[in-house]
Amino acid sequence: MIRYRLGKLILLGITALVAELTALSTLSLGGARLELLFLLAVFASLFAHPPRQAMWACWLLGLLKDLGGTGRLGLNALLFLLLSLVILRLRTVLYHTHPLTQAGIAFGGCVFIVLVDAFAISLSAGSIEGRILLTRTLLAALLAGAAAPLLFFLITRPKWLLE
Amino acid sequence: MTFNWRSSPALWLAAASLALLFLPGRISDSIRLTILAGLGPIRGTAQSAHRALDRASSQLAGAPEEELRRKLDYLEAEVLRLQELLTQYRARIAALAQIRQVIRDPETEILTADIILPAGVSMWRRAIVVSRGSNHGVTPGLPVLWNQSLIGQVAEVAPYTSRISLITDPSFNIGAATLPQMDAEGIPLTTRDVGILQGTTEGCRLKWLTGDRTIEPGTHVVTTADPLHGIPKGLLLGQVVEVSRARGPYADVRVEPLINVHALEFVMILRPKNP
Repeated sequence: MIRYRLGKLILLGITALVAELTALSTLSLGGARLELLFLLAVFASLFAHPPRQAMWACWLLGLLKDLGGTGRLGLNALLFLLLSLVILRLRTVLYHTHPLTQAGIAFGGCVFIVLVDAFAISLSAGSIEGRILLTRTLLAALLAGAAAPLLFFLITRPKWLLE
Repeated sequence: MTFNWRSSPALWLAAASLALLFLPGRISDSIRLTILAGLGPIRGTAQSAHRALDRASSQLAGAPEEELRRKLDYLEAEVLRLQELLTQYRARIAALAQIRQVIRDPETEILTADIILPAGVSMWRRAIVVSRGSNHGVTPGLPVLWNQSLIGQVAEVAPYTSRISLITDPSFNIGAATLPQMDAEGIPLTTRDVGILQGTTEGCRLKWLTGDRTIEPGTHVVTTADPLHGIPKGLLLGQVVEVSRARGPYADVRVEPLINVHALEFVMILRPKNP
């Protein structure tokens, strides 16, 4: 059974934040970017033991995303927390170690996170065109779904993260 | 596996998130920009450590000829570094000289700011973080330029850093006008159309132009005067790439920015001399 250390996962999150702000900022597919912090939050929720570990991990990872973003502090922390609660409920009925399950959860979760983020921006900053909203959401979700199984496999290989 | 909601931290974490959401913007912006500013010194520290390591390794090498060779390599690297600095300063001087051709108001001054972070984590926002803040006289709303082009506005300010919303950010709105096309004798062939330029994440859009306007792709778009925010008229914004008159009374005009901000190393903030 895979169990991770919370502190080390947060360190990985900080690294992911730096990567998103620097190296990954220029890489995009039709304007959509790989949401590394979100994928770490999905990993944290799928493999948390006990469940409160997932809540803390997702909340902290969401806060890291808020620090690197331009919206209100606490928005992504709240969204990632909600995401963790949903995934914790889902994993009781799903085979969460299967790559297709991981891809599906990453896809659906990404759609939710990206759409809520865009809605919040529309309320606070300015509207986003429907065409751009639809294509970027879909592409970001596809990227997340495709990357999730591979990323989860890679970060569970080095034993330093696991208990 | 089920868990007890009452003993779980979910409610407390949700309450903490809501508390952060309702935190005043200037406090949360200040916290965030101050933390992000830490990335600048980390990069500088890494570069200094690398140079110190090079010097130490040359001293530990031993043989006199080898020592001289290493010193020569080190000096050559230093010369290259100083040449690069000289090139950067020359570029800044040239950029400032160009700006002064457009901005002639003696009550304004130009502050150069290094770009610390070229982007954020959100795919919907277009913003950069620069190395000047409230301690340098920067306030929200100040225009940010590159040569004679407006590239954004100061959105959030911390003591030593600021976040700039680029013109492609959805929050960016500014009065804009098209430059009339002229013939060889300087007679305008098209009209000067005035509208609002708004960022769309991918590019910009010129709004509130009625469908009967003669605007065509290739037309340049410039700012109109905005004394409230200290934005002079005539600053370049972009170029029209597409005009659609298919739906509604207003033409859908797509504008592409002229400057690729990700290729820049510094920007210029226009601020009043006596705020």
